[in-house]
Amino acid sequence: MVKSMDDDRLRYLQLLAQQYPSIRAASTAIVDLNAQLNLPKGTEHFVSDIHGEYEAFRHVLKNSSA
Amino acid sequence: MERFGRLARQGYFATDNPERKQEGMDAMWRLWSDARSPLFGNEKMATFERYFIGDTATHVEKRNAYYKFRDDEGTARRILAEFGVNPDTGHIINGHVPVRVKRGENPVKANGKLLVIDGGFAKAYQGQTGIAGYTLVYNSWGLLLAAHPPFDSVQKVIDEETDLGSSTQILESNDVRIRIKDIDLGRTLQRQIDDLQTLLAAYRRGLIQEV
Repeated sequence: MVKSMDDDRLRYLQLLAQQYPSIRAASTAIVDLNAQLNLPKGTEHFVSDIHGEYEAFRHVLKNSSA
Repeated sequence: MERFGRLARQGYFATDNPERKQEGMDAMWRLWSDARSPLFGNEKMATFERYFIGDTATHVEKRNAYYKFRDDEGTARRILAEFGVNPDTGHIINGHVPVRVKRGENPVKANGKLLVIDGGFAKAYQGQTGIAGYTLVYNSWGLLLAAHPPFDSVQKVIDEETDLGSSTQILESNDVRIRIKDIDLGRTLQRQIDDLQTLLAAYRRGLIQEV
């Protein structure tokens, strides 16, 4: 998989290794990220021109528009 | 647009340099009310005429070319391409322009490429539009437009045990749900996975020691 590794790349991986200090930690993160990729995308709600109308805005948000 | 954004901030924050501050303030003024402003959609701003002159002929703000071109799919597609968005899947979303449903106006323009979603929260415009306004929902199934009737207060909703009764209209729907791997976030996550794979390989080759 890794054929040659330049200095920058290695230093980047050393930093990454601080966050994932073992094979186990890195593998767990990969599994977790892969699972996320297969989840449905989150719902985006586009709301414009709120004009400071807090009550109405909050109501729309709470009802999720649907 | 980025340049205008910088100029507008310069007009507010450049207090150490009066000349630069004035330049920024002038730019802000033009953004607000100039016929060629990229933000203001009319040929003139008649705010003061409305305040001080009785003759309503002076109050007319003639609409600029935006209102003509927003119905044109070709224009919308060219703008999308200009912003690096795929014209087949992208949409332009405009706020701030009340949709006059009472007059039969439709928030979907340019053959579905441009959507006008003024939320209609400002009570001042609700008489003009006939409804409160629109919001847009984009979830894993597709794109929905929600129309909201005017909102009085939470108290009224509770007292009368009614709700807003917002109606939704499906604009686009997908046979297959959109998953995170299909969107920009997915690309970011995939890069993280790739990096972690490389890290794994580095551990296995002994280039980096496990702690």
